[in-house]
Amino acid sequence: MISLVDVSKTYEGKHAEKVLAVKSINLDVQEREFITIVGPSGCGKSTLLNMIVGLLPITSGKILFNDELVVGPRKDVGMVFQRPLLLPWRNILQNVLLPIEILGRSNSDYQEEALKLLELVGLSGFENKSPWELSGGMQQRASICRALIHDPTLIIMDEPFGALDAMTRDEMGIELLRIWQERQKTVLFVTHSIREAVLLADKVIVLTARPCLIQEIVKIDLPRPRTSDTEFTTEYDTYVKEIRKMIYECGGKAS
Amino acid sequence: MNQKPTNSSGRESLFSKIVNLPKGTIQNRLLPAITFIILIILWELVTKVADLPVWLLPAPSDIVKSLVGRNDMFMHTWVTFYETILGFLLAILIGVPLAVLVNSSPLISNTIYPLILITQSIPKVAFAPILLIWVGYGIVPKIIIAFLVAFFPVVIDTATGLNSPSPELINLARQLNASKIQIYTKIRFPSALPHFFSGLKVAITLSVIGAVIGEFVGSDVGLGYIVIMATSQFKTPLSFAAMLLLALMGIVLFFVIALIEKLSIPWYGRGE
Repeated sequence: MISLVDVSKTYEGKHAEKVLAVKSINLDVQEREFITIVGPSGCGKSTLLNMIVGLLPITSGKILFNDELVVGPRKDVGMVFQRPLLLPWRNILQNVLLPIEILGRSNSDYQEEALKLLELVGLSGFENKSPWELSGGMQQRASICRALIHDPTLIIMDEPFGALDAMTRDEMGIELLRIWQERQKTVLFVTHSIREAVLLADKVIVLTARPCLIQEIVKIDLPRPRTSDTEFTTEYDTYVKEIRKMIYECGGKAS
Repeated sequence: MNQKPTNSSGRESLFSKIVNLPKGTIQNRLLPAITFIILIILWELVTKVADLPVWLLPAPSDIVKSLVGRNDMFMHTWVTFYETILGFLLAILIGVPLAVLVNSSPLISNTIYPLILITQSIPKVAFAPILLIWVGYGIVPKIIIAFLVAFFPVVIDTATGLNSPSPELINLARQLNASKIQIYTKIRFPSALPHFFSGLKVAITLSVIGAVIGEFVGSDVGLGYIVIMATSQFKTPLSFAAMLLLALMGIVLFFVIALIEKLSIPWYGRGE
């Protein structure tokens, strides 16, 4: 579904020198695949994501999205960030419907879908609440609904649970898997947590520090549906150790 | 569950509600009032005991007395009031579009900012006489001075506010091919409101000062004129009275803005 062929990105530095941020990335993502991306801080993960969705031009190589060359922002993408970034002057339902308004579609056509999504993430009855009345985890669930409302094919998640406390974080991971299985989306999920990466993914992509290049793609062969019990299996531990070792070997810090 | 959290328990004073002061005990709110009253009484006593001449330092009672029978003060207050308001409205009318321009591109921002800064750095008191030569003696120069001092905080704060949404949120909109207008109406303008109102609160008090500066330079009406006229004739109590009215005007206008702010952005200060 998505192919990156020799994708590189150079920035112009302060003294007009070229800074190589991302170096010849080759990657194939299948439809409905759950990909997690781990790597040391500042390794250009966000740059990579922004290039895939067409927000940032690439310097060389090419990116194919459903066999089309990516040349600009693609509307069939949903985004979730570290912070929920809900608009405080809108209630939860209006926040979920924001993409629909931006796309110029009719809110009333999507009202039912929005309520269905809120039910899916366990926020039934909260549609008329204001964002500040919800906990951080609940706000993040609402922002996942916002990412899904226009039925995109790809969901980009940039450390979506990084700002949540550890317990909520574990719960949200399992929850996300349930949503993913129900909605059948392709997911690109950036995280600092190796444990989270292994628990969620079909494939873990391990990146190196600058310039960003793929060090290894680890296929995770753990049975689905996965639950919190998955974390207690030896296979799971083996994957976590293997990936941790890779990151340490390239001199990065893993959390 | 369905109750919206409010902080309007009846015991809280309007002041602390509007200015976002922490809810205080009765002592907390009583103390400032008592201090104020004691200072007024002290002032009264000092002037009487030291037998200071009224033209040097009038007692509070002299100041109040100077207002008795002066019905023309309503008219003077009214004139200064509308000069202030018109200058203030002009500051919004011109300041907000300027802020949008500043926000829209770095190139425009780099061009406009120095100009705005120059207009702000020129002393208005020095500029006022020139305005008099240009546009004459009427209310226009007063409105222009009020505008000139008020528009700076409006531009700066609104521009800051327009720039406040997270770049990620803007990316989310750009991802969906949002137009510039959509990004402004759906994200930037509402996000800018808290900053915009901060700017307005500074601007309204400055507008009063601007109108008075305008009146100082050349006028036969308005509270600024009263201050100049009364002082030159050693009617110090009247001069103080005019200052008192100006201060009251500034305070009332400030609270009106603060009230509008409260009503229009109830979501502000609630976190994300």
